[in-house]
Amino acid sequence: MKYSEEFKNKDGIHKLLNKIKGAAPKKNIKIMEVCGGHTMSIKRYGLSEMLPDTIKLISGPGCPVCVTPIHFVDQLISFVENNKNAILVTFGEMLRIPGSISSLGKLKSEGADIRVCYSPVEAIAHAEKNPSKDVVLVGVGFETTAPTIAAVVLEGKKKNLKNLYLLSSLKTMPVAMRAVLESGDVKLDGMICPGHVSAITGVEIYNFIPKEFGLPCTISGFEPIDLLIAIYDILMQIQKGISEVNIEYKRVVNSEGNQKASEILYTVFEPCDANWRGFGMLKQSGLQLKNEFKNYDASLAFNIPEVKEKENKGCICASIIRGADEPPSCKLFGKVCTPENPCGPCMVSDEGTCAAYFQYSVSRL
Amino acid sequence: MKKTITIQEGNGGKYSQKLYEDVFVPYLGKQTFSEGDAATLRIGSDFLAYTADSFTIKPLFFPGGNIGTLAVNGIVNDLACSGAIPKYMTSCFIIEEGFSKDTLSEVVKSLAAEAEQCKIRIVAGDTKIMAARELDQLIISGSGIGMFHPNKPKGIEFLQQGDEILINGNIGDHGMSIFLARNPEILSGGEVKSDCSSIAEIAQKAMEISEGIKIMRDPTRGGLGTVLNEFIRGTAWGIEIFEESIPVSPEVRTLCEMFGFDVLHLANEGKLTAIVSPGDGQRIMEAWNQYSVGKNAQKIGNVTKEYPGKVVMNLKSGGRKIIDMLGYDMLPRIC
Repeated sequence: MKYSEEFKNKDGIHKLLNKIKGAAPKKNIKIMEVCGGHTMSIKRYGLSEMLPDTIKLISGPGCPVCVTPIHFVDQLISFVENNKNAILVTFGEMLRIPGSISSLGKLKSEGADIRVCYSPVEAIAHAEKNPSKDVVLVGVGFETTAPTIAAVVLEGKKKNLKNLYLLSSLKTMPVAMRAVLESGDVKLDGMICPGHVSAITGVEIYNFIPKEFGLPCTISGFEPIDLLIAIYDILMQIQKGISEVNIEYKRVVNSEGNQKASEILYTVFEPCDANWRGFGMLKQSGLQLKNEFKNYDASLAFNIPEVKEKENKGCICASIIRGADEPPSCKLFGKVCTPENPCGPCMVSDEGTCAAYFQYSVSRL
Repeated sequence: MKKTITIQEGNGGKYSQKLYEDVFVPYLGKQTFSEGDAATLRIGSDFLAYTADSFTIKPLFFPGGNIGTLAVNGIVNDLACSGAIPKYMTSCFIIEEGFSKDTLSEVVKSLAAEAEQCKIRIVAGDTKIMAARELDQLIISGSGIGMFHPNKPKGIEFLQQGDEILINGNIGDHGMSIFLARNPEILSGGEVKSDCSSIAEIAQKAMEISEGIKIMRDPTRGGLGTVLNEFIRGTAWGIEIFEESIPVSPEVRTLCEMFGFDVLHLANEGKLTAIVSPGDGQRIMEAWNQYSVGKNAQKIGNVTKEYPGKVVMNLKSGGRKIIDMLGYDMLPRIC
């Protein structure tokens, strides 16, 4: 596949690894890959064990499932339990996140009408095919997913669908990245910035990182060569004593971003405060439906009783999301908590730090 | 909390394993639901292979086959992997009221034709009808009997350092075919053909050539990655495979990339993976190459002491990663 195989090329990988070895600092440095997709690629292609020992990669808060607060999972469960005539449309991974007392997967196995979608657009078809039922689309994700979900709302309005709703916990990336840097939990030397978020937003949203925190940033693609170029670029910035936002993923990202997608996004949504697992409430870090679209908001339209929150006490997903801890420091990791029986969201999502670590990391051998 | 059966317990991976262990093994014993494909029956001084399987697939007709051809090949391949020459089978049809008679005829016709081609005789059968909506269209269940070949696989306890691991061709075609058939809107106009076919001839060929076959298995649900794990789970042996030698068609490779599937966990219906003594692989593969189902046979790895109980893949990138059994997947009812 063009633009994919050439970025997996073995010789290219070896050349880059040699360059990185040549440029590797003597002292230990930490680079955060913010995006969950990057975490997965790093583990899938075995990159972290091929890098010099002094370069440590830390996973960041860019896995949408992982940062979804347990409160939102409970809200989805409560919705399903209390609205039997509804169809819930969701990405598959949401089924497996444990809520305080149950999970969507469990409810589905007991007969609840929960439909797994590959694209949020499928919600439109479900609404059209089932006019006597309410169809509620679950909105999780960042700037990458939000425009598609916004497009579903716009399409629903255009088609005058009266049975289509959104239950949303959409978030935006920069505020969480600032929270990581301000928390001081982990001292970073550079950030690999999300590829697909940047394709929508452009680069401006990261300017505060070099400016206020003096850290080099590189926006990377998801193939092994992309990531190695990004790491090399960060090393070069460190070596030269500069910090700026560079784009490695030029075949997808340009500095202005995708303005059409942004326009759709902000036609439907506006920023709001949002609750993140790992960070708690972060100001202006979420997306809520604008007033003129409030009639699509399932949280207003339906009876969704509050559930008393109960987190698994041993689970350290919260500090893993902030980059403050790594999976092996968790007492539950690999013993109680496995991909088949996840205690926290980082073990659920394919992009989750714990799942990636558990499934692929040869350091477990 | 009330325990209920969940759909992933049917995917052939870890969850299915746990279902056997929790519910079936306590009453029926380990052998009944062991990963091996057929039981060994002793009648006087003769040994027979005996297997059972059931088939539920959505859609019933897919590129490269239908539930009828799937049933025959499923039973034939189970017998073949256990080291037997398939001889007789049964087929039971459980049908939903309201199901099209023409469609049923078509399924039965292709089941009969496939059995003839596989040289297995259908000797008994049954039909049951269930009321509308008590069943989704059609389920086929069957059993098969075969005669063991003298060089049948010796068993896991005979594994040794450097044993070679073979596969007869491209993996993942069946799983991808069903995924696309079920989601036509995702890739309009494109299709991938299922590999649904018999591997009995090449299994027999391998046994004629080599006395050193340790184990053979058809990696269906759960895919090659799950089967390799089943081979060495709980043993002192590990498996090392090489990403660049695993045969995958460019279409399936690209689609896996698009959808985030691991091809090692996609189902196959016409694949045979065998562990054979060091040095026997080349001759077997050359023989397999003469058959249409063995044209793209490859040696994909080795048995090793290095990773006890684990399957590790050496990646094209130069790195390594652990290959686990299939855990959760979104594609139930595929065979």
